[in-house]
Amino acid sequence: MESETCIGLDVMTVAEGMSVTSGSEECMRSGGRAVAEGGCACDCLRLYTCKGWLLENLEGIPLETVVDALDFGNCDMIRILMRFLTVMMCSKVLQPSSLVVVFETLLSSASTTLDEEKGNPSWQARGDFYVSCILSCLPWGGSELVEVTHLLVTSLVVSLGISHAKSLGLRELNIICDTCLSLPIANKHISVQQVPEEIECVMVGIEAYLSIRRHNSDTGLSFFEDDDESGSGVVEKDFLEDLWGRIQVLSSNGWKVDSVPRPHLSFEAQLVAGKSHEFGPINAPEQPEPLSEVSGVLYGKQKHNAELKYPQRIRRLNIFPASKTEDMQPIDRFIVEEYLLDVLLFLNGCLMYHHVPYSLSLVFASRKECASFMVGLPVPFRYDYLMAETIFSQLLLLPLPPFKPIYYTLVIMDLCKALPGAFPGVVAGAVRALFEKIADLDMECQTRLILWFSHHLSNFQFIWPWEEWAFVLDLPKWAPQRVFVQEVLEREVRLSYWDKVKQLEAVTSAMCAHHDVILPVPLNLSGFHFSYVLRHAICAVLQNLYHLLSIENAPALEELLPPKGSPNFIYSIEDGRERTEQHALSAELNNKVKGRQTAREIISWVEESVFPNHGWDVVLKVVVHTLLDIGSKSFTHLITVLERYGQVFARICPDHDKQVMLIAEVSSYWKNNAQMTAVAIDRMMGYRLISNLAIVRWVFSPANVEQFHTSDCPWEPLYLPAVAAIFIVLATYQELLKVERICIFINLQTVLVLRNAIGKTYNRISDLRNEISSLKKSVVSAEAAAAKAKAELDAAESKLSLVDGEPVLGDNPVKLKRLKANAEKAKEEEVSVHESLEAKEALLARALDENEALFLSLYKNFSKVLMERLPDPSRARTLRELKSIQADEMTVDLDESSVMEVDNESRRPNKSQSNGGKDSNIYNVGEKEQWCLSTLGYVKAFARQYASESTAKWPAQEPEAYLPKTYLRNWHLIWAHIEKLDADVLTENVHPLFKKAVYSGLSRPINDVSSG
Amino acid sequence: MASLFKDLTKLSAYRDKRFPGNQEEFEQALHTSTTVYIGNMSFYTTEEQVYELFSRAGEIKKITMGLDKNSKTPCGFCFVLYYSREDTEDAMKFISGTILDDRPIRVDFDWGFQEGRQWGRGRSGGQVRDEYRTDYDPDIL
Repeated sequence: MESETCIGLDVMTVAEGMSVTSGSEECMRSGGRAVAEGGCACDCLRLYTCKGWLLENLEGIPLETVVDALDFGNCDMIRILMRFLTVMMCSKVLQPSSLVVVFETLLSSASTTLDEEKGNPSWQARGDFYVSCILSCLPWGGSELVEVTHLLVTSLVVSLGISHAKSLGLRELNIICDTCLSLPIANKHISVQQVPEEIECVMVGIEAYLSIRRHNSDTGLSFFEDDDESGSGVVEKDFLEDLWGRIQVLSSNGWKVDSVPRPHLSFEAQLVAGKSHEFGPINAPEQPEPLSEVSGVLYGKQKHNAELKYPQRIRRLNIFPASKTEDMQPIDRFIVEEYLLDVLLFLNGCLMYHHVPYSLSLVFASRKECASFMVGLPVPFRYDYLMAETIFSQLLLLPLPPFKPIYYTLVIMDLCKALPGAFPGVVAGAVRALFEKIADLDMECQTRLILWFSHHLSNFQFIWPWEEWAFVLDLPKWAPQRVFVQEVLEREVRLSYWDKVKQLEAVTSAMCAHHDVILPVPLNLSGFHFSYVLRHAICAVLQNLYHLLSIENAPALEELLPPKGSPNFIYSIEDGRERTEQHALSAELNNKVKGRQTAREIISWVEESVFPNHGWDVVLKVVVHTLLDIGSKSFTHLITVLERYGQVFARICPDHDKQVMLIAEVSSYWKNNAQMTAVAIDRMMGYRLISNLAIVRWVFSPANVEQFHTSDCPWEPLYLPAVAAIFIVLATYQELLKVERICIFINLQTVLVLRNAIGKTYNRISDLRNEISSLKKSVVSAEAAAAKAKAELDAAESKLSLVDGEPVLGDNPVKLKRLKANAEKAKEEEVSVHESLEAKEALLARALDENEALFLSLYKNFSKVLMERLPDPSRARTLRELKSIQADEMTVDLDESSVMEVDNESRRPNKSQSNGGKDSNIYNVGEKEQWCLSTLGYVKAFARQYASESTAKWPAQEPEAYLPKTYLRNWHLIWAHIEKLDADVLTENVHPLFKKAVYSGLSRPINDVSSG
Repeated sequence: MASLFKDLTKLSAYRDKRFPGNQEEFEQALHTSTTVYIGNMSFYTTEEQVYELFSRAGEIKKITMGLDKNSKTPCGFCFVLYYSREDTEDAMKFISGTILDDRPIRVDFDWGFQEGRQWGRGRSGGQVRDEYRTDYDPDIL
């Protein structure tokens, strides 16, 4: 009763809100949200019905909203409105036949889309979306829709029964009557025009649709690399086929579903007393224009566009064994996912109150609300495994998650707090399962997983049973599992305490004075406190470095563990190194900066006295090292230096070649600190001191290329302290000595730099496009204003000139003068707006050219480095074959293998290694092959980034980006370059694996090549 | 307009007394600002840590560390300026209340950084709130 009151209060609020007519949209959203929260909309509706209020107000509202939503292609709105209508139908507010009409409209639109003549099959994504909307309504209203049928049948039977009473036994007759009477709906509500077979027609229609649509195989977007090469020939069901299967099972179970609450059943009496409503016909949106051919680039473009516009809501990520979710019906899984996704969508606040920012207290409240809704779904089974899978599937969704990954990080944290006994264990299980399969996980997903996991742990005191992963020490340096652990540790350190540790050095010196003391932390069962361990370990390391040189192994450690990410300033004079001419120049430059000389003064000093005497190389070294050193203290210092002296860099490095050397110098200065390297490069790009092309060229310079899968040179030293620190505790001291060989990690940082460069270029293009479109509007209005002013002036002049048939200055020269001035001013404005439009258009053209050059250069470079390293196509047609190359060779020469670093009996790889399962700790892909695998993974990830970057970075948050009808013209940038890519890069002699990676990233069928 | 769940129009309980305008202008500033104020930080947290965490909500334009006006050392707050409003809102929604350096931090909209605001305004030189604070940085050992 209490909860009812609460709902009642909410409903009152809605009712008041809705009484303001403009509130209709919010009502739908609130209503939609209520639906998301498990059907309490029914209660709302009951109340409306009682008040007689809804009856008057309902009709106009959803109709126009539905139409708007359809026109604008706002998927979330359409889906939620449909469910809202379904729930209203259950509550007898809406006639079932009206709902069926909506279904049929959408279904026929979907089928038409697939028709080559009337529709446009490349837009299948839209048809699929409509059909999935219909299907997803059925668990909520299927039994009511069928009940109508059932009831009608029953009453027919009853009337039949009565007329044939003699032929029926009394008992049967009683049963029929009882059934009829016990049914909650009163007979008067079944009117003749409700054709019971309608729902059957819908089902048949859907079946027909499914038989003509193409199976959706987006291997480029699957989480695991191996999915497309299983070779078993079994085609996995796509989303719609899967949902249809679940619905069919549901239908054969008589539409009984426990996970959908039916609160309206308790209010049947009140509800039937109300009048149910018809719903006017709605029009499905226009079909896209038909295409002349059903394949080729144009088809690909449109298909891609449609898929971005009507994205698949979820892609299932199967992390846990099926036994964890076995007590559910097939449909339950879908329903729970829908609940969770809707809560995630609405409590993010993006749809509900798009223009109203959150206040802090509200953020906390809504976060709590979100977690409590998610843990308290109205379903009669345990679903925390399913919940984890659903959230991870969103976090890792390709090409982009619906929201920023940090949102899911937060949700997972909040759920861990809300269910402290259960959820952390489930999350840990998910991490373990994903870690097992990390070698096959898509590169982009690996990146997201690393960023998420490090952030997650930093919120839980870094507690993780690290000893479980100690075995990665025995894996080859390029093994993905080892790389994963090391990347996570790297990110931990960035989020964690260096300076505090340093400060505590004195306090802990007693404890850490000897290595034996660092190991008191028991490697216990439940895992240990990472930050505690880390701090002690780092303290010990620092002690070793600075104070405890008497300890036997300190020299080795010192070599191993450079101080924390400190800069590599080659002109440092502190350590008493020999002072050269360049030291003097650096000191001079330093003084000039300290003396607040301007960039101009420094440029002239460089050009007049340094360059002529020492040459360009010295200039570059001195300037880069000195200026970066001045800006090395913090992020802000760096920005200040770049703001003030950016022009100096620009002057000495005007072209790509020199910028490549500039980047190399920057990375040499920050070689101990990956984060600062990335920040410095990023900012220099921001100030346009270096171009993105230069970055691509630097990334593909020989020194960097070898580290795509590892991290030898520029970033290696940074990893060492953290990794070593953790391993001091993890491993025995002997193993620590091996740490010096741990120098190889996926070079995530390079990839992030590159990814950022691409993203920035796109942002610039989209900024320019926005500016241009607003300028175009100003041009129109300026032209109109000028024309109007001119017309007024002309009118005034002509009027005056007609006085007495003579040109007279008239009796109102002041007015004429003012009009003249106005006209001139308007004309000037028009001209100036035109000019700035032209300027922006030129900038855009240049940016697009640059972007094309960047794109082609990126792929040419990838293709080149891969061609040099990939085995002959005949030996490696698939990734699976590529992986097994080394394994075949290794079974022969494993004993001599120097790369495997096997040194103790327990971890020794088993020679018969292809058994899978138990041997999963053994990684037998060779270094070169792993390099190729990682690089191919990045090729795919970049292609995908290109393909999805341009419209909206995080589409779900920009509902206003859905502009009607312009979408067909709004091609994604990548398609503008596809022909060039085909001609210049994907030539005949390109490696098939490379081509495959690009195509799958672009979601383009590989056999499309020739026709494109 | 009434709404189903919460009144979202009230932005912040905190009102900066140095803001040179009336309440309406203050709210307008908060509605459009791309700056967040971050409080309850550890005194030892570095700009780079802030950067690592806050860049996950979007690209950062500038970080300004709050300093003790006497000792010129960090005193537990900072300002982060983003390029876009959306990223600013996300930082506030998704980072507020989470842990940085073992401390739950507070992230709120700020009306915009101005020179001088980086200094603590407390009598001791640090933040005013520190003078009421009872839970000092827990000794980690």
